[in-house]
Amino acid sequence: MSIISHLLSIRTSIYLTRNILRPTSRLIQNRFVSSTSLLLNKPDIKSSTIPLELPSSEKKKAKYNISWKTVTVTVLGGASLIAFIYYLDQRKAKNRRKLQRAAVGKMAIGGPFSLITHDKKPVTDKDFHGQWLLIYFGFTHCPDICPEELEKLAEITKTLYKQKNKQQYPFQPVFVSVDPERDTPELISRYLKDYSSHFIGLTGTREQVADMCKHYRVYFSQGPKVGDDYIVDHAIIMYLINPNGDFVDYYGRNKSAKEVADAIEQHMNTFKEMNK
Amino acid sequence: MSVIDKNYRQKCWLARDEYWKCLDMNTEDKEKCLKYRQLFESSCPATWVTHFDQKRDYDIFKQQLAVGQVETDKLKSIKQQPTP
Repeated sequence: MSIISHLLSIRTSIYLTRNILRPTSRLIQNRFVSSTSLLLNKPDIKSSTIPLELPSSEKKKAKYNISWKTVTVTVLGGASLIAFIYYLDQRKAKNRRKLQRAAVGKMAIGGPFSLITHDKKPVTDKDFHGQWLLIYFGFTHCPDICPEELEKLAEITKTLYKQKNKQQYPFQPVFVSVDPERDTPELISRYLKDYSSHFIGLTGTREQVADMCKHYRVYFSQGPKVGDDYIVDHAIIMYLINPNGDFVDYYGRNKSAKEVADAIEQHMNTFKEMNK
Repeated sequence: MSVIDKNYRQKCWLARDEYWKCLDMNTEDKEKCLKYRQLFESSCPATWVTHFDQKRDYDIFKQQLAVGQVETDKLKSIKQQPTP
């Protein structure tokens, strides 16, 4: 039994030696000599030391190889992972924006209208699709507020027209009369000339005007008559409508021309980004 | 001449401003500003005159309210008035 075990251990050690040191023939010869001497002298002690040395040398080589490959694989894997995470993040953000828009839906301001321009041309809301509209509701016999607001609208128009080349869609200021009884197309035409050649004035029958005012939540009320004259009380607000015909924002009396122009420019940029 | 004309409007506003300036300088004494009042009334439509008078009253009230000069009784009576 003991003789057999000794023989097996010797054979095993020789096999391992050959396998590891195959490229160099000198070392092989040396090992053969040393193994022979083992048989002659003290086989028990020396045979036990050999297995301890071999695993350590094997480990060293293994470490060297693995570390090189590992670094490469880790770097590439890491980069891929980061890229994938970034892609997911972008997609998620895009979906979130879509959901937000879908969830909010259309605001309850704005809607269809059917009126005539100061040039007596019949128009509906669809005729203005593809344009940014800034709509102001007023009347020509207005004492002070309408003229002030229309001066403001003219200044806003001047500012935005200067940036015409940068805009994806044209900007169109609109004046709607809440006094259809007196404000004929001719009268509106004369009135708007004092402010800007870019303005479009709209009027219509009392029913048509009332219908539009209802959609835009515009309050208007004819005041008491003094002879033939009267003043129409009304909300003092400008409404911004985007090229799709959707209400976007509103600006009250407290806003300056610059503030409004800047806000509209920002909406134009946002709209452009969202429709790429 | 009509309110459609820009020059007419500006003339009206100027007359109004002159009248108001007179009132400011004479602590709202209308007797001393009759000359300006007449010019104001002849330069503006009647409905505008009424509108501007109401506007001035409101602005003065707002100013007094800001500095806390409005009497308690006046405030009470205003609050009790029904909303039109």
